[in-house]
Amino acid sequence: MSSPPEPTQPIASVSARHAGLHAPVAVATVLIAYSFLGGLWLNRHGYSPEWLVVVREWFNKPLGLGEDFGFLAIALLLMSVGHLLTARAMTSPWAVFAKRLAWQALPPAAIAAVLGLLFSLFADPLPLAFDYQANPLLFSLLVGLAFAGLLVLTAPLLPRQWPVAVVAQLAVVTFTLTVAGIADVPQLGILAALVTLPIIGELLWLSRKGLARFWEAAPLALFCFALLMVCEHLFREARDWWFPVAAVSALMLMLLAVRGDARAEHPRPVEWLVSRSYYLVVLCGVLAYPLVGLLDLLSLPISYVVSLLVWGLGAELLHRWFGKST
Amino acid sequence: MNTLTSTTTTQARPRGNGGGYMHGLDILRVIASTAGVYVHTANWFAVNQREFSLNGVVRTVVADPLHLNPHLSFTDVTIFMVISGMVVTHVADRERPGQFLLRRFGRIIPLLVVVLFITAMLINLGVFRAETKQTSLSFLDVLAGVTLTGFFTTPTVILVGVTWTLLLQITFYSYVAATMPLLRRRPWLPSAAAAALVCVGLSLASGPQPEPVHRIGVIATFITLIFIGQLITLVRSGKVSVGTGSAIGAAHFGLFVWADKLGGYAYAGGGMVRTAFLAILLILVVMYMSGPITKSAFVKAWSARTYAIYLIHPVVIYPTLAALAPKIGNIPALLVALVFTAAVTEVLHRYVEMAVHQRIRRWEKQRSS
Repeated sequence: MSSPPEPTQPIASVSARHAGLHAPVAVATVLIAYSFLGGLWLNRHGYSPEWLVVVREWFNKPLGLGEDFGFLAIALLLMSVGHLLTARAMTSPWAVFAKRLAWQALPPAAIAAVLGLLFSLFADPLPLAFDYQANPLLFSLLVGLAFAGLLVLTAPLLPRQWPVAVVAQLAVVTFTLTVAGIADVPQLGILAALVTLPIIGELLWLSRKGLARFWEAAPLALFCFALLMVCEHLFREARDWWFPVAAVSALMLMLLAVRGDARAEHPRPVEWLVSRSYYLVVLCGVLAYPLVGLLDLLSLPISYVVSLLVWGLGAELLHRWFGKST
Repeated sequence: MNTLTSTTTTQARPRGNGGGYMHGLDILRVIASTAGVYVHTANWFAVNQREFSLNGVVRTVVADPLHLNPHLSFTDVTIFMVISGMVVTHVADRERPGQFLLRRFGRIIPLLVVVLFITAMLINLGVFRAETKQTSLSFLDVLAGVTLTGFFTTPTVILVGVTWTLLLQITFYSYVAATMPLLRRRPWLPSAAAAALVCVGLSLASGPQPEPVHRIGVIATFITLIFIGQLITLVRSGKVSVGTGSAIGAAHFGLFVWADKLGGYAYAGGGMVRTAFLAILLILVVMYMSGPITKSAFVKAWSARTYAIYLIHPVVIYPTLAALAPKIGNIPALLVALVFTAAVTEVLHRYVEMAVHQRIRRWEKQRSS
């Protein structure tokens, strides 16, 4: 396979347009590890260590950020995806943007799917099911891909007619949510509602760049939150997750991050996490999660150390093969 | 509340990173005062079992989805407290302890005393009911109520409910004045020491306690929010590193969570920590805003009057609603109450709050010349 042509922007401008995303993406990636390898794996395998209970009692419950910060992490990543892809769509020719996006997103997802199927033969990966409760990571990847599809379709409109593009995306989301409500397909409805998170990220980028004024972006962002709330009202399955609480927290953190973090250089671990975040997320449920279970036979600490190393190595390989994820 | 105290003088507002004034704090005060008026109005309608359509809207659109306190209670207090810590820490940097106390108390005490005397009169006239349910007050009750010592007596004598936050302000001012040299040499130390003191306070005051001890627990609980404000200012000004400030701030927030888990210090609902968390995030985001609305004269004027609004609005709104709502309906009565509140606020702001403030400044000038 050969990679599609690189975009014409120099590396410096790529860095600059990502300024502000480092902190949320890095924090979210760490929280993904904590939530899925820490909280979820331990609980699904009969462990309930004291520290996990303490964190839940003192942080997760009072703040309303459940799933061991899992959905907060997902919301931060989805908003970052919206922000980042919009930046790319606005600064690259349409065909280059679409090809590069497909190259970086689809093959790693396919590899992850194969890994998941393989591991399911003899281990216990997160199930390949279209169900938020069963596999929030896969579900969130589908949300990201759905947004990417919408963005590719509306990208030609963005530079001159961004409101038309965003309203068109929201119209598709609203229509899908409505259809899911009428047909009583909760998972489709939840997926549609979560697509609003990258749209919020998109609005954030448009606003930062001065294309969207506050009074234009704010009502659209509020509409996104309204769709999340409608989803909670429509589907019982969506009510336990407290999506709006984490989404609002994520937006505030994003606003803080994009305002405060304009540095071009960051510590190497942060750079590493950010540039490999997509691959880490893709591989978390199908590589790291089942490995922890497989190696648990040795001892849990060793299992975690080895799994984290293999997980990182897997992300590194995908990164080298498919290029930067952000 | 005092945040407001220092706001009418532009010099008292923290400067943004770029050197300009933080106009975002003005809009935050407007948001907080609006929330305060809404919270108390909504509570009045709920207690009196009268329909208030705005309650349903706020519950459906904000409170329920975000799992906040009913009627968004405590949002106003959090915003005011955090901003107070920010502003007071900023001004403390360039004032002597005596001057600092004179200016701060000069801004909050005179208006407080006037409002509480008016309230005491209204209670004895049968127009208003004290927060602690008294319908008539003896001389000693009035004295206890006006000096806020009624918060520590048994039975308690609290004339206006919102004045409990003044206890926090007075404690914080006194602490800042006492630790001012330390605040300049080791800026992180006063807030770190305060976290230790709060920890001791909460430990001593937990469980069933006599009223004065319980009240210390209440002060210890909520003063943590003011110290978070102090840390925001210290980090912004570069006097405390982000890491140190975040660590001490997290300790204060952890103490607030602990107090919430102990229970008994907050009466606003089950979403106290969430409300405080989201309100702090909101402050961090909005404080840097500097758009045309934020900078408008209207917002600046409203912001300057928020202390008067905060103190007087229950005293005006409750009796007005009680008198008019059954006769002319809820919404017309509320509109009248709001207009009346605005008028009384203006009078108090001009002829009490600002008058005393300007007199103190003149006296300081004469003394220095």
